Amino acid sequence: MLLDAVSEALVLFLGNPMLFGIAVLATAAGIIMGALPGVSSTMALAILLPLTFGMEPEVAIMLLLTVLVASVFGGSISAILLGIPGTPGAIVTQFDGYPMAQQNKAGKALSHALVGSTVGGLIGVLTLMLIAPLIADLAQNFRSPEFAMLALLGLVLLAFATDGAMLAGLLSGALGLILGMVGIDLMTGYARYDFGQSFLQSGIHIVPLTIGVFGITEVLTSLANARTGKLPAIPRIETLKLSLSELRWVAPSWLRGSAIGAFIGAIPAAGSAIAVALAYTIEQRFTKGGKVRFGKGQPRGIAAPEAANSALTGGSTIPLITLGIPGDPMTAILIGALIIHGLTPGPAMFAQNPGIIGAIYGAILLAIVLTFVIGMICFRGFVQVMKLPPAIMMVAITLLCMVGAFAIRNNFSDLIIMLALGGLGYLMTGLRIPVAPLVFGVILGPLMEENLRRSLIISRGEWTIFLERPVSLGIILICVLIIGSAIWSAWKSKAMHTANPDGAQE
Amino acid sequence: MQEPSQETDERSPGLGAGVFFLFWAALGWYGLLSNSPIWATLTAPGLDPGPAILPVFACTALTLGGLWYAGVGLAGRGSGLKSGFLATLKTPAIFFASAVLMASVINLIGFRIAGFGFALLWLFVFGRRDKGLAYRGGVALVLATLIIAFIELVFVQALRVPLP
Repeated sequence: MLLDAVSEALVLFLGNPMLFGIAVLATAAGIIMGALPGVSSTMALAILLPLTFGMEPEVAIMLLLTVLVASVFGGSISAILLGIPGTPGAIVTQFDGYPMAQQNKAGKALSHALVGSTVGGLIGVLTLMLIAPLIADLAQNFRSPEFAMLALLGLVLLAFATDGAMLAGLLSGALGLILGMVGIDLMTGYARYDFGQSFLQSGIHIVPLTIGVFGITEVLTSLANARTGKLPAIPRIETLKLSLSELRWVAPSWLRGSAIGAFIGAIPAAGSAIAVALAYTIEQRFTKGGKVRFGKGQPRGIAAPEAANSALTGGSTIPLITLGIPGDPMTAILIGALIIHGLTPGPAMFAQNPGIIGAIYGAILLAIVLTFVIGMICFRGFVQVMKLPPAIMMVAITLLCMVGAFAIRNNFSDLIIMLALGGLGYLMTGLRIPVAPLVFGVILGPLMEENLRRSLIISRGEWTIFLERPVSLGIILICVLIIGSAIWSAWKSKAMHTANPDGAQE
Repeated sequence: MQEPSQETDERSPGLGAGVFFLFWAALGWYGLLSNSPIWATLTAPGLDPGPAILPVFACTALTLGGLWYAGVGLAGRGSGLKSGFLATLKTPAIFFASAVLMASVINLIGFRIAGFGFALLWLFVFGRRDKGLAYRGGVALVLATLIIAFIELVFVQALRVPLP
């Protein structure tokens, strides 16, 4: 049944010239946006989300996933050619990609990245197809207490994954919960946090929120970090061809990197930086003399992280489609796209909307193949785009964000809310407060609140309902374990710093 | 080439984050306490714990967390601002202010004119300084026209967005 849904989706995408054209354009746009330093995959999705308003859900999902898959690969182009990763997932690719490019092997480095990315992407989507139905089956038995605790787990995991400040991440999520409660409470009809303003009674829509936080915040950050000097010269791209022996040398790296990426992607909030760093480190250990050879232009140092980074895309959609919780900021935007089209991500989607599940699988498959083909054909053209000054792109992106925020409800107040949230996000980054949990809080807030209140109604006000159900209890224990481990590691590092302040400074 | 760990700023949030969270906690409590129908649901009879329960949890967390960060900030961690944040604030702050200004005049002069003016100004500012003013102005004019034309084509003509 699942394979039928996938093949139906592929027939739809490939059989309709208009849809196929959209997929090709989306792939090219995704690679270009990923390659531009300062434009992340998340930002690319945020600014393209408004384009999907009038589309059928399957087509909207196809467009966004195609851009996502292509931009993930695109990030490696600037990492290899300029030593500037276009996306966070490409940070490790530059360690060996940039030295290879400096040795007049830019074409081969790009090919290694593209082939690794393609293999990783395919393994990631296969993992998704195998594992997702099993998890969705298990999740069919989940009831309100489990879903309330799952939403809490999503917030805790994301806060845990944010750089060094778990408490700030949790509080950012709490702020998101409050923002998500602005508007009319559907169970009682009372208005909350509207402060007497009619425009707040309709709540904060997810589109102005994601565009503001992931679009405008990143634009402002990019402008603050704008390079004043010229970008490094782009090296000449010689042959893109890889010999059989070169492919054979990196083949094990694809598999190891893909396995790591798919596994880490399936853990909500684990993120691409962890996956690529782990894939690189493991590859160093598996390669004879790795410590010496890596960092100087070793193809395995490109193939493994690229495979991991692409496999992550398939893995990260597992929590999205099976449990309805976002695995990372990119899947948070995909949840927004599904919600806009009246779909509720979660285990019920497998039974109620198999077509959407098929479209998700089919779109990722199509995107992987198109990224490979278009990447191979148009590498040299994409490289030219990197010569565009990033600041010019930021002007265009800001205007697109403004139009996109307005377009969701043709409402001027959404535009103002989007800008306000963008400014808020920038202030938060300056204060070292992670912004992604804020968005997760708004998305997960309604899920958490509805199920928390329903659970308490069922249990006649007894909070022990969350401890009596084994899965709910298990999730609570995981949350406690995660928070406990973060406190323990902070305490340990503080104790080490106190014992040896000089050593900690080094 | 730097390792990622070396590029990451290891410092944690401080007083600034504390003040930020306390501000939102205060706003959250004010929104709850000034809304008597919502506040009354906490003690109302019935099985539904009401729409105030989660805001109370969130505001409590923000208050305690804000106090914690304010405390550690005052105790020596400092403002906790990202290094170079204030030094690089000028361009993003002016850019943001101009975007807000542009948004506020959209209802008066329409999106096309406001957006064109915004794009022209910033494309000129970000233009190549080694070239003459005429070159910068010309490039800015062409690019601003292209951006607005793209928005008109995609959003207004294709997606039927009624831009003001």
